[in-house]
Amino acid sequence: MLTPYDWVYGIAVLTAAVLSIIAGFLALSLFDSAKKTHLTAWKPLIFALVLFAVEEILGALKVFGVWKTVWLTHVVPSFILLFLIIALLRQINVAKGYHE
Amino acid sequence: MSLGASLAQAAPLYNLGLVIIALILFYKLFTLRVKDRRVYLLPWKLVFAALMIFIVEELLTVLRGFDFISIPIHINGFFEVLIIGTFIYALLLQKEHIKSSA
Repeated sequence: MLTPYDWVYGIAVLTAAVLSIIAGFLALSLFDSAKKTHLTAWKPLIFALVLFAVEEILGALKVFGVWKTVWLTHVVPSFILLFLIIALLRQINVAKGYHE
Repeated sequence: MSLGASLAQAAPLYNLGLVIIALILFYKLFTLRVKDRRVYLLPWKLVFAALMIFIVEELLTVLRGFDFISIPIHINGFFEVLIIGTFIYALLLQKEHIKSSA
């Protein structure tokens, strides 16, 4: 028997998964614009956001017991952070004026 | 212990290490004197806010793993909705800025 707490958790997880898919598509729609020199940092950030969407879907699958990949849901954030670090390094270079 | 279990055990810890590097880079970015006038930093401030929420979530995961706290894992769902909402807002802000500057 599911408690109200379980219902709220399940709804939160599904909301996170659906919103992350929307965020992933939004990020991909920015990919063409990211070819501009001053937006070059957005390319790795877009990869990070798409990976985040993947992470949320994996998390939702794990919560509902469909596919339990415990180690994957901890490893994917590492790649998200790596892409974020690359994006930050590029953005710092753009801000310094190296891509004008 | 399998490779997967080892990774699951160690991952929150080295994720925190990567987060420290990201925080240092965010500090550098926000304290930099911007020379390219086309640079728009507000979405990056929102990404920073999302990272701070992630840090809180990972800290709770690490503390829960070592049995220092007993906050249920359910709270992670709310953190993730907050993170995604922040990301979506950052993306929409950047899209709007690209349209208005075109």
